[in-house]
Amino acid sequence: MTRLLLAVAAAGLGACAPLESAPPPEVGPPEYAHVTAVRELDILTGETRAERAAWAVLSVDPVVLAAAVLGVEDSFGRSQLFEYDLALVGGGAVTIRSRYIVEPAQCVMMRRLEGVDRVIVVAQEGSRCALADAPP
Amino acid sequence: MREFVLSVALVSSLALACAGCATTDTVRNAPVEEGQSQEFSAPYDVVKAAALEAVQRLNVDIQGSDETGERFQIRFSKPISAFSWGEVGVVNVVRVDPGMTRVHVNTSKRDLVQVTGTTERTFAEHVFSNIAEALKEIQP
Repeated sequence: MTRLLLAVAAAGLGACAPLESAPPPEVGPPEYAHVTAVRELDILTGETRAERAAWAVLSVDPVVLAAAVLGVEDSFGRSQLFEYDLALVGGGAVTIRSRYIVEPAQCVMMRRLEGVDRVIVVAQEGSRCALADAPP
Repeated sequence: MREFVLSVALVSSLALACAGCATTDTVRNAPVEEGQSQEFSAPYDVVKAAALEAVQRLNVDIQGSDETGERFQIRFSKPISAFSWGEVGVVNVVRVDPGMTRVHVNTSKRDLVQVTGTTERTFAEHVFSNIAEALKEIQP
C-alpha cells in the first residue's frame, strides 16, 4: 500500500514538470549553398549555478545545497554550436548557427523555419549544388 | 568529539550525494548502443538533421553536438525544477546502411535515487515521434 501511494505521488510530481514538444514549425523551400567558413561558438544558456542554488535552498538541506552548488558541473549553463557562412547557389550569402556538423566547401541544403530562430541543414552530394546552379 | 562526528557525517553524506549524481559525461561516454533505439528509413545525413530538429523542439537545454566515425551525438539536459533535479541525455545517430539509420536515446536522472522526473522511455517516445515528423518535412 505504501509503495502504491509512493508510486502515485511520484507520478503526480513528475507530471508537474513534463517533457513537452513544441509544435513543428513551417519549413521553407530548399536552398542549396556551399559552406565557406565555420566557427565554433560557446554561449551561455540554460540553467545557472544560482538557479540550482535557489532550488537547493528550498530543500532546506545543507548537503543538498552544497552538492547543488559545488558538486554539479557548470557546463549545464553553456552550449556549444557552430556558425556557418554559406554562399547560396542562387546568389548571395548568409550566416547561420546550427549544431549540424559539415565541413568547409561542402554542399548543403538549408531549410528556413518560420517563427523560430533556427534552420535545418542537411549535407548533400556536391552534384546537388551543381544541379541547383544549372540554368532552367 | 561531537563536532568531529558531525563533520564526518556531513562529509560522508556529501560524498554519498555526489556519488549518486549523473553528469553529462555519464551518458556521453556510455556505449553508443545504450538506451532506447529505433531505425528510420532515411540516409544518415538526413536523420542527423531530423534528430537535431527533434531535440530542439523539446523543452530541454542542448549542450552541444559532435561527430565521430561511429556516430553523430547530441547532448542535452532537462533543467532542474521544483520536483526534479533534472536529467541528462544524449541522442546517438548511427549509420546502418545507405538508406537506413538507427537512433539511440540514452538518458539518466541527475540524482540517481530520485523517483520523480522524466523517464528514458518518455524522452525516447518524444524524440522518435519528432524525428518521424521532421523526416516528412526534410526529405526532398
